Amino acid sequence: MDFLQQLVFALVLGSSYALIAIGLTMVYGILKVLHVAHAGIYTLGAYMALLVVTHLTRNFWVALLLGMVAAGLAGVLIYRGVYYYILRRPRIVPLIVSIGIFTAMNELFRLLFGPYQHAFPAVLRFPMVITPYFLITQKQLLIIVLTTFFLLMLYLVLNKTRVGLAWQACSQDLSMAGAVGVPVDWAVALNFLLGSALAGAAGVLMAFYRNMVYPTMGNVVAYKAFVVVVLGGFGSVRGSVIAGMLLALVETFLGSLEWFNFPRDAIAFLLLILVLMFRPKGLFGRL
Amino acid sequence: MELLETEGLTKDFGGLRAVDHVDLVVRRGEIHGVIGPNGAGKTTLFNLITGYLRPTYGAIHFKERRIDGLPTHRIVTLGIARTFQIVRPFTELSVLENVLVAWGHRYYRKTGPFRPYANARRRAREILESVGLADRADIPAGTLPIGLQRRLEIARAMALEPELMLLDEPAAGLTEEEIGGLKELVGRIVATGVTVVLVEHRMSFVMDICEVITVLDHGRVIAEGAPEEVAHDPAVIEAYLGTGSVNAAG
Repeated sequence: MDFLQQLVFALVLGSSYALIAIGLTMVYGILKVLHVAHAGIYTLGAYMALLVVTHLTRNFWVALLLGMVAAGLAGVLIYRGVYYYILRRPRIVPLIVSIGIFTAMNELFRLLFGPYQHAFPAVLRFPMVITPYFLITQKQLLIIVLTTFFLLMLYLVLNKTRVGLAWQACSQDLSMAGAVGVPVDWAVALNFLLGSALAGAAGVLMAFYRNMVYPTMGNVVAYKAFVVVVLGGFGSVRGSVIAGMLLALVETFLGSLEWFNFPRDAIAFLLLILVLMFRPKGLFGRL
Repeated sequence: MELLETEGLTKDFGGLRAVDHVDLVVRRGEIHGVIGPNGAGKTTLFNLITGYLRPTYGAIHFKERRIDGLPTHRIVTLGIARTFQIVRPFTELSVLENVLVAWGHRYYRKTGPFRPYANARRRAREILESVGLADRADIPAGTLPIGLQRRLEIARAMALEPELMLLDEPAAGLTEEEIGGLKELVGRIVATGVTVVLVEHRMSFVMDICEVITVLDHGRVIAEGAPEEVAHDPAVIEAYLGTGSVNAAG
């Protein structure tokens, strides 16, 4: 049945949105910074994995792991090296700086790897699902399973561990968190580490899925991730996961209609405008 | 050296000197009141001691260690906890979680941030019990009435297991009855060996429970001593009631 097949596509797309938006949401939730460079981290994860695959080993898991590590460290570096010094400035300052970092990263990738698309020749043994109604390819199943795993782990970290509690406290009142003994810098750095590693994972997964890596692969992602964060209600992790899935569903199903001759990537923004007009705090936000 | 000593502590905000060469000495085990009219620099003094502000001049020693310039959370780990004049619970966390955040301070960097905190719950509940919030442990802290939010602030400070507790206007906005409860609570905290410094507006409350009182006016210490002495000090009366009132009061 076509419906189920479309649902599979939507799940895969929604997984990538959710993985990227989580990091953005967490950063926004705590620092109130619109971290545009997060999409650069996504691309960086993909390029790191590409380096591993082309120079080290074709093993997908190694590529994924190293891609996530590189992305996580790059995230921490951006925080400690840049945001840390400008957090107390008006909010427009970190925003513009962030856009600058993102552009610089894109150009850096172009310089280092050239403006072309690279194939992503990782190998992976993973099952697939074939039923009379729908097909889930190896790569699709991988994305769905891994995203589920990451979301589950994230849920546990956020709700059952000390650092999760510390993050919640930080996002509600950063200076108060310091007053009750939370080492705020450390908590924020860990937050960047985790959020960026997830964005890196999304980059690697999408590179593998689409079999291509290119310098500007983060562009559309950057804009969409913001839509997802806004829809999800600024800083609510659960909200942005749901919003990511919702956006993917709408895009996939509208895009599959024959009479729908609208650019698919514009749907997100139409949705954004509608939501902001009628529910400015986002679908799940409390503001 | 005493538990806490400030030397020539000074803080300027632009042209305004909010704290002016304050030498505060807090001895172990005492309840030390800091009073003064509005804008006397009391809260600024607390902000300096707890690392929210850096002094313009002067030094702060805690347990013979210089602490000015350290980040807030480091000062907390060394043993100074504080509450705020305007209560600031983490409104969307439960009452219990509020205490757990503070309880976690000694573990955040040590035993691994991703370790579960489940076993700390028992201890956090005990603390809530001692401040009378046990039956509200699981509701969002933002829904507590103001008097109980103040108790939660103190519970959070207790969870830090400090040697020195700074209470910033703990009685503000409380009813007479609640103040009675607060006195009793502060008494119990001191009985466990904690030293307390409190900033307060309400003279009666301070006179009742403090052993030593420091009076600030325009950032300067204008009097210090036992409550009776301070209450009859002409400079203090003048600062509180305005110039010329010394004769009237005398």
